[in-house]
Amino acid sequence: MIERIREIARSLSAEPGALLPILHAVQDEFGYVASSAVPHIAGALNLSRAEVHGVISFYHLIRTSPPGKKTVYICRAESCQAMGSAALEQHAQDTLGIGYHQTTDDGEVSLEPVYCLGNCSCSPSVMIDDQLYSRVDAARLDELLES
Amino acid sequence: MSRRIFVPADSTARSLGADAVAEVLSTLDIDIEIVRTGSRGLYWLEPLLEIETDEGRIGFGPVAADQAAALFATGIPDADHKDCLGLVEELDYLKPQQRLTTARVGITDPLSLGDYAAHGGWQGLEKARQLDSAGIVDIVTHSGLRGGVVRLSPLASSGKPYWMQAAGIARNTSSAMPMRVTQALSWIA
Repeated sequence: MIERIREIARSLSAEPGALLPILHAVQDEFGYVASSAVPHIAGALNLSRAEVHGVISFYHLIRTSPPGKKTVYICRAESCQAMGSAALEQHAQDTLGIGYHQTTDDGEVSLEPVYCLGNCSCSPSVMIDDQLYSRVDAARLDELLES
Repeated sequence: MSRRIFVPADSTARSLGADAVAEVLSTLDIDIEIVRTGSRGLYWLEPLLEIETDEGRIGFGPVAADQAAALFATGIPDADHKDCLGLVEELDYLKPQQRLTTARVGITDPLSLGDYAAHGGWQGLEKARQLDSAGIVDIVTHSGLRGGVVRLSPLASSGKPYWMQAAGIARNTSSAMPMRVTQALSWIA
């Protein structure tokens, strides 16, 4: 993995503002950015490890641990809360037996909060991996998790 | 010519199943062309399927994927179909609206330059090409346009910015600025 990360970092290091594209590319390939990758990315860009760590920890969508097979994002922003997302997240946590930022023991599902998917007109919104879903209630979430 | 059927492909329409609807339509044995557009923003009707007719575009919505095949069971449905919403442009919510920056959204395939040209695209650029540099500067100045390009101050009160004074704007096609000027022209056209 490290060799591949060094390769990604080298190939993108000439881009303007290369750090984010590199972090995206690493996460796209491995699902997360391992802490062991930090010194190699920092080295490729002549940055300090602290600078790279700062960017990784700033962006919540950059993961530092492997995700489950599916990642479920539940929107917690105003519109979704007004339309019942608090009950939805409670249902998700009860059903999956995990809290936010956790992955089920079988490695199937990771649960993450998200603050606005820009889909307020059809709240509550849920995103599973890259797919957005509108007007999700408990029953619909169960259906989506089973499919 | 195959009839055009419009199915939005914007995020919200997709989150409500528009992709599945388009998928079903593409498997039908009917001579249609599926055009993926943006959304008109009438999200309670999404997925809003629109069908080209001589009178204009008629709408059906919301159409779930499992209803799409039934809708086309006896061919392309017309305005007399019981689920037809009528002409989309005539819908109560849409009719009184005057859309400017979103005028083409929901109507065209946003990646089609042909659609863009057919719906009033390039007008600003055409107009700019008729003018000389000074004429362009003048029209932008009088537009009162604010934004990054004029550093948040109205041109009229701050004088012409350095890049306009250079008067190279019409020739400098590699810069982003002429685009903004043509945009400005299209807004005030």
